[in-house]
Amino acid sequence: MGMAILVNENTKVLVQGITGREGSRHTEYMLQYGTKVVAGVTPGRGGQTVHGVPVFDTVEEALRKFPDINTSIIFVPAQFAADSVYEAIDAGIKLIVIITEHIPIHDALRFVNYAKRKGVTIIGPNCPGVVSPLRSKVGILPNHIYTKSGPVGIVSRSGTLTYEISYHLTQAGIGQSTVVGIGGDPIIGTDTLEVVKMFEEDPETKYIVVIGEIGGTMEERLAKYIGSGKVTKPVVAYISGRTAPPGKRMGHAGAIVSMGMGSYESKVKAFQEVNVPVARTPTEVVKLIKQYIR
Amino acid sequence: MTVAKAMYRVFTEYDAELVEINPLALTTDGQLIALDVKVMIDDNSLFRHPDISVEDSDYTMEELEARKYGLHYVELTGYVGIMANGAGLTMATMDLVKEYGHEPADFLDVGGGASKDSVKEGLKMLLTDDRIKAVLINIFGGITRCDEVARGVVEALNEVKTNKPIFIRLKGTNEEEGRKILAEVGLKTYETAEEAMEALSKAIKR
Repeated sequence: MGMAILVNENTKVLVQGITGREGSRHTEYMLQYGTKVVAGVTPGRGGQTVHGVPVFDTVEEALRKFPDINTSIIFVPAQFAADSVYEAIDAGIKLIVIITEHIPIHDALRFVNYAKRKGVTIIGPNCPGVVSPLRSKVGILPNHIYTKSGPVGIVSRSGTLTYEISYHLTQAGIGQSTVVGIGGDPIIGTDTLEVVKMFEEDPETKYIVVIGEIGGTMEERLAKYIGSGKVTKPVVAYISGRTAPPGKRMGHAGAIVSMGMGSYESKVKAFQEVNVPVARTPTEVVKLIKQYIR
Repeated sequence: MTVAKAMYRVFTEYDAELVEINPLALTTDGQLIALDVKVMIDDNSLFRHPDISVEDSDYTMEELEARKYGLHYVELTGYVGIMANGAGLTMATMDLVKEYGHEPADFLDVGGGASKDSVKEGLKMLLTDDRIKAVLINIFGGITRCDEVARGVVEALNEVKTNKPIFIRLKGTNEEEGRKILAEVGLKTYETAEEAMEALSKAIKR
């Protein structure tokens, strides 16, 4: 098997907020998927175990016992999530996946900036996480969807839509190298363009699917980068929110057309100008990818 | 300079997404006066701003009501009621309705891992909305379980009398059981959102 991006068989995971309902449930699912979950953290719960995984009071203690931990996944409630991000960064963890929803934007602004200075990759917040099928899953993506590794890399701002498109690809016999849910908040650690750059470098990924939505300018920036000729692999896009009215937040905090920015038309135009086909429906993504594979 | 500093202080201290003074006037005696001000506060930061309440926001009654059940609801102007799970899929469903030449009446996202009760409350909102002629439910079960969704649908129908046709696309986790639960009350399910939308399209044309 090839390489994939972000997570693979060498990923050793720490779960922050492991004793909470979501943290505990998804620890079990990650273990079932085959992810190497080696430790968890919940302050005040050190010494317990969750699904056989030892729990520590602090990230530092967990790392002292398991120095090979290289990735953390955060389920800590929004009010305390920022503190746990700093704790992971300061302990030296280089990849942090933040599942927690509703983290204040100002908190995200600060820790995303801090992580960049420390050379740490943050995925999220408010994201479904990352999976390299059959190797490792650091996230909450449903196990039964990710059953086939292969040539398609997916980067997405949406959860359910990603599962749906992944499912249809697998049904069509097309596996995925890595699927990255970058999150639906206005401030996130890693954007679409950064993930596409990783896919471009990854020998296993041959085709790239970008699932975007209205709001922000991530898709426009990606299109500009593709226009500069730096992406050699075929890219197919889908953008949701064509019919969303301006000024209204559509579920995701980041999905809003405001002050004339982030409209569907602007994103589609940007992609079309650099010959990236944009699917009209989620299922059309599979058809477009098939045309390249043939 | 004082104005910029003060604005920055408001921005950071109040978790603002936007602080805008427009227009800012300079009077003949050299005083600066903010003639109009707009401040947008991040909803997610309200836990540390007890002096600010979400009730003061510009959300509609329905939107605030929906939030109580963990639903994201946005009222739109059309006549096809929409319920789906996940913001992206819900928007994609709106787009699909439009693709078939119809107008979505709402954005209703029951969220990832939706419970029976949130589905029930969400559907009740749509069934009691006079603008809505038919309802399209689009569920792709990942974390969300199709049987849980199906139970919520059935309970809503038990509580609200309706003659609005409902078209349900149910796929993913526990879909077999979900389909069975719906079949018991005579509701058909579709494999894809396109199929469900096509059926809906035919039904409201008549």
